[in-house]
Amino acid sequence: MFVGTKLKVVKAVLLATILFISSIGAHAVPVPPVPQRLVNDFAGILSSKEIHSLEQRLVAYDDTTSTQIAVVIVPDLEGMDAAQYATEIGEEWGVGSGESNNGVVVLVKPKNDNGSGEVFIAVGYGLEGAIPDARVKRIINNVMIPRFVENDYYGAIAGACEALIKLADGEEFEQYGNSGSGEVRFYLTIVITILILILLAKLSRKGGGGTSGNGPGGNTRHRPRMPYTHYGWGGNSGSRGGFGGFGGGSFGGGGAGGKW
Amino acid sequence: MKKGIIILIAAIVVIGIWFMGGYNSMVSSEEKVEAAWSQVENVYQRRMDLIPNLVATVKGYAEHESETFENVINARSKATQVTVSPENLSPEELSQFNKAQGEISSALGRLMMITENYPDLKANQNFSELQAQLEGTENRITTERMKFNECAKEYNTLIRKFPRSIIASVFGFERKGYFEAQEGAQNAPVVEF
Repeated sequence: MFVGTKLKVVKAVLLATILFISSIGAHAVPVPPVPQRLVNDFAGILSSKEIHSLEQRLVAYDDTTSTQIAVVIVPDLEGMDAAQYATEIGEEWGVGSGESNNGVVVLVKPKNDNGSGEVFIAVGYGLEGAIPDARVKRIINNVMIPRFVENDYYGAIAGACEALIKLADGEEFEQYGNSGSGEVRFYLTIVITILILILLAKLSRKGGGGTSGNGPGGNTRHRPRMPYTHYGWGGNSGSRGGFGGFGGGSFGGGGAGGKW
Repeated sequence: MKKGIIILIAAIVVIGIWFMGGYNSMVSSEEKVEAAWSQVENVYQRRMDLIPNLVATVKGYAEHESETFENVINARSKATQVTVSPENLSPEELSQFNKAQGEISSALGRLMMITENYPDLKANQNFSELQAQLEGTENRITTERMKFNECAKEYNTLIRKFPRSIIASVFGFERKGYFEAQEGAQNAPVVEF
């Protein structure tokens, strides 16, 4: 058991190092800032007042419904497709709760020296029914792009968030809840492990042989967390509205995007 | 003499536990690959379901492009004949599946290209929704393929590492295939001066 976990940790650290090294040259989505917040302006486009009010609105919505809408503004997509970039942020950051996968990522890349403006709204698995792609496309075309063109970034993003909230309200999520079967299996494993250990202990006392079993490592998919060393420039301090942190939501590529 | 027997039994028990643990972790890893596969199939099916509607809508505006429509429909019917058994997912099966779906991708790509020539079609609300759905489906395909590859890689590493590979060969765990990048799927970075 312990050998397994140790190996896993070593593996994770190695992977994280490799990812970090490769992230210097190649593309990688930014890591979530510490402390985590819902509005992340890495491009320095919004004023701190705007960030504050948007953050408050989104945190309040998260508190009442557990649905998390994360706004991420980056100066550059680093050669990645906007859809891929937004989905990866959602997946890596874990936007939305792990049980309901009710997260949304609003990714904005402003029009700047790095090229035309791009926007993509990625929708977590759990919200795909409430927020279909075609509706997202409509929000982007009708609410966001006209305002982006007029350089009203805040208006575009805030308007989109309100529209998304309206759609997401169609779906109810349980705040927290666990299925029983997983728990039963967990306890069963513990009981069996103890029984085997007792058996082994008895045997080794009698025979003097037998080291403890070389338990295999678990097989839970281990997403390496990248080290917290993102270029945090332009980061206006977010509000202290008490965002509880991302919940491990998962994304399947749903959503829609646009350019201007 | 007696001590020897006990050591032997203990060794058997330890090896047995090791086998059991190895076997179980392979089973659950394989299960994860299968779950990821069913997601992949779902998103591809989603695209298949979109095609008739999409073709019908485009046809209403662009009757002359019958060849393009036929290509899409043929590629679709060909792809429906390629089935992959989730227990197998061998590299050969997967590359066949990938090829068939790739043909749909390129036929659809051509279909979407010709729509650029029909402004009336582009203004059609129904079409723009279908387009958004198709784009979303393609994004989902990319994501689920990537997730599948991750699971398959984890599984393949698990069964191929010594000494666990012994267990794998005893119980017949076989290597799973990956999705190779499709032609044109990976956009080359545009160099601007």
